[in-house]
Amino acid sequence: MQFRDTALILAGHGSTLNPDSSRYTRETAHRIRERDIFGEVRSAFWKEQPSYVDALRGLKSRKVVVVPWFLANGYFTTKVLAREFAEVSGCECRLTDPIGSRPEILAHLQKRAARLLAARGWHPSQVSLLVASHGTPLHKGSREAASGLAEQMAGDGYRRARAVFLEEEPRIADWKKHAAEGPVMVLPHFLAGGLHGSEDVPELLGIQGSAEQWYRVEKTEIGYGEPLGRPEEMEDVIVDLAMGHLRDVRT
Amino acid sequence: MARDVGNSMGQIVWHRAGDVWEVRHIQDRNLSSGGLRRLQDLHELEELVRRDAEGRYRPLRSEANLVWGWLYRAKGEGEFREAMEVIYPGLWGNAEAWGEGRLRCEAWDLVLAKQTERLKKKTNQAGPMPQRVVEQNCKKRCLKAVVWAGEVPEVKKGEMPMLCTGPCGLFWSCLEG
Repeated sequence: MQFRDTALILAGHGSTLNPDSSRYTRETAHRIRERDIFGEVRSAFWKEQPSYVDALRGLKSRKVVVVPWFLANGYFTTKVLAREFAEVSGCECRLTDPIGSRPEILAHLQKRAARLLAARGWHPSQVSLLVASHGTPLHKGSREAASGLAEQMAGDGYRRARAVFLEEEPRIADWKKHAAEGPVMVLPHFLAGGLHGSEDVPELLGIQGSAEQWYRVEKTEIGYGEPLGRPEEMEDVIVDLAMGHLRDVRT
Repeated sequence: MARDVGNSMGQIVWHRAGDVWEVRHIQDRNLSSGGLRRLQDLHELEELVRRDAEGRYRPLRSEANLVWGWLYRAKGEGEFREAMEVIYPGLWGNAEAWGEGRLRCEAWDLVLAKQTERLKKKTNQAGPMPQRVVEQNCKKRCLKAVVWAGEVPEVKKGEMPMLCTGPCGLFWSCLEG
């Protein structure tokens, strides 16, 4: 199915300092553009160019579907994007749920967990699992998304499984309190390229590096997973979100 | 695009030959095509314009440090417009709106209201901070005329004007310090 009269915008956060922050968003946009489903495909950002306004101004299409490149129905998705794409003169903009709302996210976390377990030959029952997310007192959406994923992964049989946060309790910095004795697996509930997943969380855990592998911290082994958002994992998620939304509108 | 759209914008020049729109850096305007690196698609163009000649991140696309030595051949007007959106996002639409007398700028108080409480506080404490950022950042670094801050653009024949209609991410970063 094609939507040649519709533009797709991947709306991310971006950064004026970190060139890699938007890399996967842009690469994913390019992959989707090559599939020739939508009339136009753009990525746009809050902090870097093209901004949301820039992206809209340059479109030929009058119908636009916006997929939030965010992991939760949190502050950015429900407040900022809803406002920025609400009333745009001459454009009919439709905002989908964020990529983090899709069930595939759980599967992608489970894949990372499986790779780390296989590297040591361990079973989940030997390991504590922490899903490390942002969290913010401004909105409960971010917390709920990460906590929900930790609860679902608890079903895989980990010794313990819970979410920990940068900006609210329980804190990532207190990871020792929240894990049982023995190895700890930390899966970042962050999108790749940003500083939180590649620098802030590893620093709080005391690990040297952010590559997906096991690290020794004092007497504990910490397995750190790859952040989310690889283009090959997100491409279909985004197309499904956009097309599902457009089909709903048509019917 | 039946009307005349000139042949340059900022540091970019273009030349149309039939259905092909050839886009390059203004510094390369007299070089033969064979001496320039041919970019294959919009993604490659985007990766190129994100960095300066030294490979440093270039968050402000309208800064006068666009790398030269390349060539993009757009097949048709649609792809040419896409290429211009990659190089100077949103600016073609602004130039057209200006030409048609319908360009709208963002009002400072409305734009400020969208920022975080921390940034609003910092802005309010700093007094005439926006004007200082306009003078020290926008006018020194950016090729756009700061229309939202009252600047009147100088439009030259054959050029599409580069017009700024509201504070960008870099403006706020400078304001934050």
